[in-house]
Amino acid sequence: MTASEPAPARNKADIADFKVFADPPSLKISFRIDNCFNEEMEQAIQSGVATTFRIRIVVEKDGLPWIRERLVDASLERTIRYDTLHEQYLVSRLDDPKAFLTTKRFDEAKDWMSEVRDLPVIALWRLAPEQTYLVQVKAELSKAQVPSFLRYVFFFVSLWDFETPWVTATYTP
Amino acid sequence: MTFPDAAMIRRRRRRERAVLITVLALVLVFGFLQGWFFHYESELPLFGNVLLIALVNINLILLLLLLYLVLRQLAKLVFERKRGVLGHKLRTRLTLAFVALSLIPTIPLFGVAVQFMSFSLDYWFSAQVEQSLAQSVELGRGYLRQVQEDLRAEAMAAAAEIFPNGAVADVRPLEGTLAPVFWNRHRVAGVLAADADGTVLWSAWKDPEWARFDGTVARTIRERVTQRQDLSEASPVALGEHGDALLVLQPLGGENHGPQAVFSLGVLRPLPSDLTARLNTVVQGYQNYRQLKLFKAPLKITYLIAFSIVTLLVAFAAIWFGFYLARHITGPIQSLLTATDRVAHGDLDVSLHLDREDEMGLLMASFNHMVRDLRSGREKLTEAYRALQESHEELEARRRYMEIVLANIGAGVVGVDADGIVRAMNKAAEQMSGVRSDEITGRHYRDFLQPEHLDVVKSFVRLYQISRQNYLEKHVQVMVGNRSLALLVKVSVLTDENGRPAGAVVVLDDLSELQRAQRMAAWREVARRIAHEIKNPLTPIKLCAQRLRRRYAAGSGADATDPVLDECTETIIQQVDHMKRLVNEFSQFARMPEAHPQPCDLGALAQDAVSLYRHTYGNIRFRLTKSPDFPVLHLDPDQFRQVLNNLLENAVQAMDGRDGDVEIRLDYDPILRIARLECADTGPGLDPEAKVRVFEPYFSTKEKGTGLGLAIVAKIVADHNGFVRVRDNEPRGTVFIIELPVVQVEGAEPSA
Repeated sequence: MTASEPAPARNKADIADFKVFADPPSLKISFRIDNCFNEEMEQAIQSGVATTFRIRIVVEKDGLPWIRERLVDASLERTIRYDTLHEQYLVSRLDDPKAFLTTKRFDEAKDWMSEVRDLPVIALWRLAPEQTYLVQVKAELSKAQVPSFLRYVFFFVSLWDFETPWVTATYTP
Repeated sequence: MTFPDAAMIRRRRRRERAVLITVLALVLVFGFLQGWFFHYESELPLFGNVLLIALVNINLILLLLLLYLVLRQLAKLVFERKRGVLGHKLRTRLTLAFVALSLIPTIPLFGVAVQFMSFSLDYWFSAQVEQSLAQSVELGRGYLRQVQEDLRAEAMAAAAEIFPNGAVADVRPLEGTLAPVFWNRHRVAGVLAADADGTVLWSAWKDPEWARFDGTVARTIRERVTQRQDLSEASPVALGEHGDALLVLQPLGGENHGPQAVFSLGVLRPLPSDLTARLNTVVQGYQNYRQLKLFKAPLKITYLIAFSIVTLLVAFAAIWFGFYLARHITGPIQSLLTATDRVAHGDLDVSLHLDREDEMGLLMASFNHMVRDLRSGREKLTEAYRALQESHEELEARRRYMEIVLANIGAGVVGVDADGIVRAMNKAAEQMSGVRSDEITGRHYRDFLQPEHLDVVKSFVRLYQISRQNYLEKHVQVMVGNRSLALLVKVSVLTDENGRPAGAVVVLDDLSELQRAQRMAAWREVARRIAHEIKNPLTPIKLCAQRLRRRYAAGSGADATDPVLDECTETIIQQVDHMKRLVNEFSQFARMPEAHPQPCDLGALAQDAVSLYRHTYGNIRFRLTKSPDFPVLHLDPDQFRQVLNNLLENAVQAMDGRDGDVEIRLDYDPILRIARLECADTGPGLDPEAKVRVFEPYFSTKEKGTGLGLAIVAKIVADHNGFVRVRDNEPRGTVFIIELPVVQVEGAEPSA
């Protein structure tokens, strides 16, 4: 596997430790989103703003750009919300069997949001031998459940949008 | 105004007004929609965002359109100012005044509002408020902790009650154990047992219907076990319409399962719904507050933007309204100014469009009425002017006709008004008097008439005073320059309708030539008769005198000649010869032959004559000058030979034996086509009377002159259609001038 993107700046969100590996019967990926939380975002989450990350995963056959055959184009969402009364963080991960996680520790909750472990992306039998495949991922802030009247603010002021660049890894069965 | 494009301009302005009002209305409507959308329709994810973007963009576009319309008005005002359109100053001032009136309160209000909003936000997000809210939340948490502790105790008690003998937890309790009194005693709604993996072994509910929450409770326990959380911590469980509940698990040891096999007994107590609602409200308020605090700075910016947009909207609307009001006020004034300017430049077809009922409309109506009156007056004036012009043209035509008549008649006509000022003079009068009309017109006759001529005028005045006749006539002989004129002067006294003298018209008939011709004819008749009557007796008288002389000389001998007789007879014979010569000359003058003109070289004739006299009179210097272009003339050479002889003879006699100069000059005037012969001498000259009569027969200034030489010259020249005149020579002497018309005769050879 080779990461095709250069290392991002420290203050920008980025995909790290991107791994693509076969774990029959699926091709799986693992990676971590670095710098996806900044101080303002953490304050907003601790103020009760529900925040959702969207992770896009694309699997394509290697070839010329724009005309590559796309096998997978999926996205998954992870949402974090702070329960002020019970002082715990609720993380929902629809891609995970343990869909709903609760913790009182923010760091743990952030790890749950930013780490993707052993995520199956495609069945191995769909991959042709000797064919190189490109596996691309990117993450972005999908939405922040701010109060309705605050959305007006976000139209003019962008506080904590983030979006990682596409990170590509190759896999050849 | 009813200018060609006035209606179009009105339509355009109306359209512009409609567009602007529509834009304003749309901005308000879309702004309201935007606000409504944010407050109530914010849950539509995609459509909502698109609509939001659309609304924001539409509002921005509309604001830009408003800005464009206002700037357009401003640009128009600037262009009008540059072009110097009438009324632009007033419009500029009014617009500035209205804009200032709008902006002066708006701008401070904007500043105050922004400042106030900033202060308010700072105040709202003060530490006291946050602390109060945090304490409220902490209160809720304390309550939950208390419930949790209570539930733990209840769980311990319930465990002792359910498993009095340390029975294993996976054994469902006996039926009688969970009697109603159990639920009331422990104030729980459900009780359950779970193993170490979080699997619910059994559960019992105070209300059997609540058994449907088994799954929810089991999931909660499993998550906690999975995440290795402290099971004794209270877990919130959502029970749908029954609100929230707290679940506490009490770990229990089992004797039969060893120390590792730990079971948990869970008790579940629903929280009071009103309390839950209040707690949720408090927590929600706290969260909202913290979120608001987080977004305090962006909120300020947002409000600032909103205030700015509203202020700009107000400012644009105010500026446009200022333009509108200024145009509304200055429009009619501008129309009036433009119309007045056009009237001042003579355009009376101006009519102002009346679309107002106020004082300005009244003023415009009065202006239209005034212009109509002016137009009517001008039309009448134009009509009168046209009639006057026609009359003037007719008069002018008559005047021109009269001028032509006066200019072409032979008689000289001079008009004098009652004050003696010369008012008109025709060309013939100019020629007679030798002065030009424009030199004397407008002047009194006394200012330019010579004393001799003034005497003539005075004589007419006296005659009029005596006779009081309006028509006077008199023959006068006057000298004009070097010319003697015989004039028949007719004076018609003009009177006005009241019979008062209004001036006089003087008609001058030049009778000089006529008189000269009549005199010549008379003298020729006299000469003929004298020649006839006197010539016959002269011969016998001469013969008798010669006979007497011979008789007396023969009878008395040579020595005895009577000297008296001799002298007398000699005198008789001499006088008879003289009379005979005189009679011959008279006869010759009377019987002057008819001229036979032929091409003639007058220069050669003059040369011959001058040569003859130059030999005869040595003491006189004879000169002949001839211009190179002097032409061949159509003359009778014999007669002109006599003319030259008579002129030279006259000049020689004028010298009276003294030394002097006699010059013959031959000139040609190609413009007038006149050949001029001048004979100048340096003799004593002629007095004015002699000049008048010098060409009359038998007028001579010499004792023995017959007075016929120059008369013959005048006769011959007149027979050749020429003119002869005399003037003084400079510095002394006399010049006789003969002017002859040049007639081109082709193929003619000159004869000398």
